[in-house]
Amino acid sequence: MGNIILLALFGAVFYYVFKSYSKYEKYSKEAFKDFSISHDSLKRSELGLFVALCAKVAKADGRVDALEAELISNMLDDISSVFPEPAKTKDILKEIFNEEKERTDNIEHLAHALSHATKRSKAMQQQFMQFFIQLAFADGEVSKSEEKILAFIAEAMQFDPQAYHAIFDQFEKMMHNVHPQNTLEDAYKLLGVRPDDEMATIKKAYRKLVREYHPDIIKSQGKSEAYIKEATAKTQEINQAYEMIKKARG
Amino acid sequence: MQKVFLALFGFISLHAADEMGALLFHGNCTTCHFELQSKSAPAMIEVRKRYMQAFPIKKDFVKYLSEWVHNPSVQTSIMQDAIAKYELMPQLSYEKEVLKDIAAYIYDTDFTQQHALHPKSK
Repeated sequence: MGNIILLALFGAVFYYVFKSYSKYEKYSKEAFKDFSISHDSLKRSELGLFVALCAKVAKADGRVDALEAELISNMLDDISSVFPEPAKTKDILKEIFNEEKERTDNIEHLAHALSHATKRSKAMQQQFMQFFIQLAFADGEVSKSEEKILAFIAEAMQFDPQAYHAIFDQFEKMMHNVHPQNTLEDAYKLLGVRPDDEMATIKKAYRKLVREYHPDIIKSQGKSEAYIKEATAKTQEINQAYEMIKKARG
Repeated sequence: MQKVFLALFGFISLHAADEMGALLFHGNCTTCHFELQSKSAPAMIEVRKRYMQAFPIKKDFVKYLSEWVHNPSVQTSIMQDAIAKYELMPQLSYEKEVLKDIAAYIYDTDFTQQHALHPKSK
């Protein structure tokens, strides 16, 4: 009997230690419950800094394309959802995104600040960097200007160059390996729509799938390194099927 | 009950489409078309006003605007004076579906008021 109580006690202690440790690794509503939301406080937090840097990466090649917009919209939802007032948070994040996409003079400052804010967790820095890189790959290939900004962010964050190149190469390889659907029929099947459905219906199905499978920066915390890569591959597959249908319909 | 769900779902997907339009509009168009000021291209409030006059129904507005931007031409323009002043808009090879989202957002947005991505009017 005494042994069981001791075991239960051990269990409880382990659970507590594990739980408080995981707070640093993962985002949760709990972690943000005392966070008072204002434009300034959000902008200084690591998630605000992350959104600001996403804006730079997204706008690096001069335009924001459809898949990039989908990923950004989902990302804003994911981040807002951990704050006590999601709607208000999202409005502020949108403001931050919109302000930041217009300027390129503060990238170094933001990257420094993000690096500082996340210095306790290398894993978190790794996830953020992975997300920046996957965003740059969203439109199929990384342009020179996108690559320049990514490298600049990595350097300012004092991100290990080898680790940076490893992530970059992984995504590059993965993008080569995402094969377009064999046939148009497969593309329709993947999106779960029929060839005689209207484009609006297909677009809705596409958005729903991207929302379901997109790389989620909040959920990715504490997950294996492969998570963002797998989610990106799935998103690319969905996107290519949609592209194929759009092309076929002219 | 089912109707409520349907309405709710409709609202959510409508909202999502609107947000996509906002992100695409602010991420692309505003590089040349400022919302309230005409500089290197006519201001968005001006374009919206002219299209509203010509196409008061959303469906027509979206169809005409997206088709024109997809393939800009002097012959089909409803803003000849703007072309005379700023030249013909270049063909930017945006996809039709992207242009439709953007056009729907422009139709729905009063740029002089607070709106998505621009809570403070500037």
